[in-house]
Amino acid sequence: MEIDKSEAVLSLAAIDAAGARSTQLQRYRRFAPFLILWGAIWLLANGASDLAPAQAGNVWLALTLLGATASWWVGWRQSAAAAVGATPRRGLDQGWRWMLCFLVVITFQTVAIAVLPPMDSRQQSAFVSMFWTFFYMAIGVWTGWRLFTIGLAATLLILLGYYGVHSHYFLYMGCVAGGALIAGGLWLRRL
Amino acid sequence: MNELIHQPTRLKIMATLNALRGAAKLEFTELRKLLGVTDGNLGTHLTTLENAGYIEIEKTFVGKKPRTRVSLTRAGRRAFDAHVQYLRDIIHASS
Repeated sequence: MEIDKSEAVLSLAAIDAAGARSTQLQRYRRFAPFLILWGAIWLLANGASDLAPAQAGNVWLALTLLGATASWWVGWRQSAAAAVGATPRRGLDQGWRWMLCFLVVITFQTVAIAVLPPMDSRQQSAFVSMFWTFFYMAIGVWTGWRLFTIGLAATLLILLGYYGVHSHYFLYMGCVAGGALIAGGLWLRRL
Repeated sequence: MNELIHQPTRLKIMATLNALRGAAKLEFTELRKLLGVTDGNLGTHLTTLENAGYIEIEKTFVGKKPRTRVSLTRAGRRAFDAHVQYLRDIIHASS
């Protein structure tokens, strides 16, 4: 059986479309556990900040370190599962890169807060949280519209809370912004 | 031309699996949703591709639930790449 140029063009277009959907699904699947993880950390850390403000710094530090370690583990698991021949060393290398990325961003945020004009805890919380939600939007431009939407929705919720919620702001941030990330992560896992 | 791969549904199955990273596998239900086909239709085409040695079907249990995962074999990836090249050659030859 021979085919002509028009059928070849249509077949290649079908291949591209199917491949693109498959790639997008994989990207969403890879990103989803990180969103759920950090959504849960926002939920816990903001909740603790609201209930015990004096301990907020220690709680955030402990949970951020826990999140970075868990992110390393998730990155390692994902790479090991996808690697041809499942070479543990390559997975380990990918895991370290993920953890290093988080540490670079967290260091940037710490330095930025230090050099910016004095900020109160609400401003710091909004700044750090929105840094991540804008990051999700930027990544979403390349990865897919769902991630962009999650970043945008979380940003709007943070702004709504910052300007509109005056008492129990941190509880709001934990439940609404953290909850948005968890819900977003679950949404990414769905087809 | 590889007529086995060129059939429209099988072509999409191969393209979807070819886009997976490394040794990653796709669940049967995910593949069905991505392609928008019925269980029976997908099962028939997967069997054809498996018999040709192009894909590998792994059946396991997660708890009490059966799980079927599909991946491309090396032979399948080679055959798919060759078919894509064949299609490109047709386009280049006539332009």
